[in-house]
Amino acid sequence: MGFEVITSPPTNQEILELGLTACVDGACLPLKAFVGHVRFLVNRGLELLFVPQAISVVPGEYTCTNLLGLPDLVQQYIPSSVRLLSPALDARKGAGKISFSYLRCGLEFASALRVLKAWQTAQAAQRQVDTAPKANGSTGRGLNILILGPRYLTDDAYLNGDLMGKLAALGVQVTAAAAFPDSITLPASRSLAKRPFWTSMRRSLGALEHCLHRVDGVISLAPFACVAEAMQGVMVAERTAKTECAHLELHVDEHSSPVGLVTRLEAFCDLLERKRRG
Amino acid sequence: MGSKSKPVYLGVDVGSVSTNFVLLDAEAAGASVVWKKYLRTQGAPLVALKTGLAHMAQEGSWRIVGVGATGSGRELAGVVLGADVVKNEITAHATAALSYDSNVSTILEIGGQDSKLIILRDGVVVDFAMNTVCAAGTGSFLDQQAHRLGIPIDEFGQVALRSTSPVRIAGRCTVFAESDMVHKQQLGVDIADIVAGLCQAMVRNFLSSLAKGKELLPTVFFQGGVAANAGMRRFFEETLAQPIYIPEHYDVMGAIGIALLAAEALAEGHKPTRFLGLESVLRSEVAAQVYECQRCPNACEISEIWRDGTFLASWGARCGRQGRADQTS
Repeated sequence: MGFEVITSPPTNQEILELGLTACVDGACLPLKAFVGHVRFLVNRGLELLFVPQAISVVPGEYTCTNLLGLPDLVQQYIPSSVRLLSPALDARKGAGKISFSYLRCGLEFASALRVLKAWQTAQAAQRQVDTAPKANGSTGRGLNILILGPRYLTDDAYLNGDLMGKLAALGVQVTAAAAFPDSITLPASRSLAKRPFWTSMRRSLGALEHCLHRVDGVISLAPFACVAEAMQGVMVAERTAKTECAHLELHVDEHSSPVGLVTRLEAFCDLLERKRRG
Repeated sequence: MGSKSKPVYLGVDVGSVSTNFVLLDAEAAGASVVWKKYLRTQGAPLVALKTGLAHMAQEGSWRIVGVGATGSGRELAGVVLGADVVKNEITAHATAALSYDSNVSTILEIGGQDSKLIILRDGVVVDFAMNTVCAAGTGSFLDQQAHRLGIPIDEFGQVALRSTSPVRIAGRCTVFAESDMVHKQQLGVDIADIVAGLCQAMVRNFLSSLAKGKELLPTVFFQGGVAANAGMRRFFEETLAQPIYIPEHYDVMGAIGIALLAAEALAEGHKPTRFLGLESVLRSEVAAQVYECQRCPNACEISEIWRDGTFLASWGARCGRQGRADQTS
């Protein structure tokens, strides 16, 4: 559409620090990191900041309340010279509403034809990201682990303490639940007693149902003090206990020492290995 | 002690509060402890390591045929000693408990900075939980409170047992627990009842944060430094309504377990030990250096270990770099 686009790099100490020093204390770690990214970009000089208000991205579901309020939160941390562009994405009245919001938002800046082409390009790029998930890591010990948790945590190596890298070093294959497309997780979540409201939780639980008998263990990754994830942790624990699938809950916060994380992962992999050997 | 150069396995558990050493008789089956030492780490694991080894050299003549390191300082200890096995403390604690009783199904472990619950079935660890973010309800907290009340930590448990009606203390958070205790003290509540209330709160906190939804089947072991506290043991027994066993060497179980794992690994691999030798470790000057790496915006905290001016190892870099700070690649 003719914009010059600036993106922030993957989360690092500098970005997180920017978030920690400014963001309200009660916010979860990913939210603080998000504010850090925003402040980082503002320092680079920009005119428009694109933070969509994701109310619902799948019909019949909501995103978490923190995501819902994201534009309002971000507004506090940007100078008046920066304009916040936040189209409301609300799929509750049909998935088509989301395209409509994006297109209408674009019309202010370019002709209908250009906006339409940009939207198609963006969708093609998104489909590339959303293709079937690949297991990463190492096949060294022949162990498979499913990681549950929202994508903004499982994909952020800085926030999750390089969980994937550490597991790979321990000789384990890892698949992230968040990488499963809705075409798999939606049908899989139908066997749940009740469909969760929140999209990220439904994706995690759907992926769990899909993978339960194909993996050796499950790790739930959650930000400390995240209510939805705390609830999900209990549901996952109940489900895995019934099938005797090993389950580890990890909470991430601002600690900088990786020792505690390594201890848990090491012990968990030992456990899986000994279990498999019988 | 004193038998000429007895072959032994050395197990070292470098924890945040204590650094523990054991020597296991290499000729006996299972865990036969011939020497042990429980030292305060006092924030200086390298000093504690050397002090422990110096005591060991003084108190007997040993031939060390294998070394294992565990605890949060295990990497450091592993490099300094030349350990054959470096493993996490959960596996170590479970191994030690199993060597005492192969029927153990539940291990309650409360150490200085963390507490753990380990669930075993048929001799295999099937589940575990560690307290996550804070150190409320661990040994450090008990230490602090004992100090504040002017009761030596060794007598803390006995004082708790004298109580006839323990008062209720908030156990969720150290800060709340402390203010609760101060309030009760000001009301003139007997010190024994406060101490007992605190022990009860710690038991409650342990079970609600770690044992949620888990089945604690017999046999139950209680180990770690806090197992010395008779009050804690009694309240665990009352709450779980079953006997709790405290192994003889409850305070050094991690070190015992890792020594057993070292013995197992060396027997499997038919390899000689990589131990650097008692004299060589005691004679050398080992220094640790911690700094923030400035190579990229991640600013990782790197720990470097140097012996007699020679670089040994470093860790902590997210990028996996192993080199020295002053080297370019």
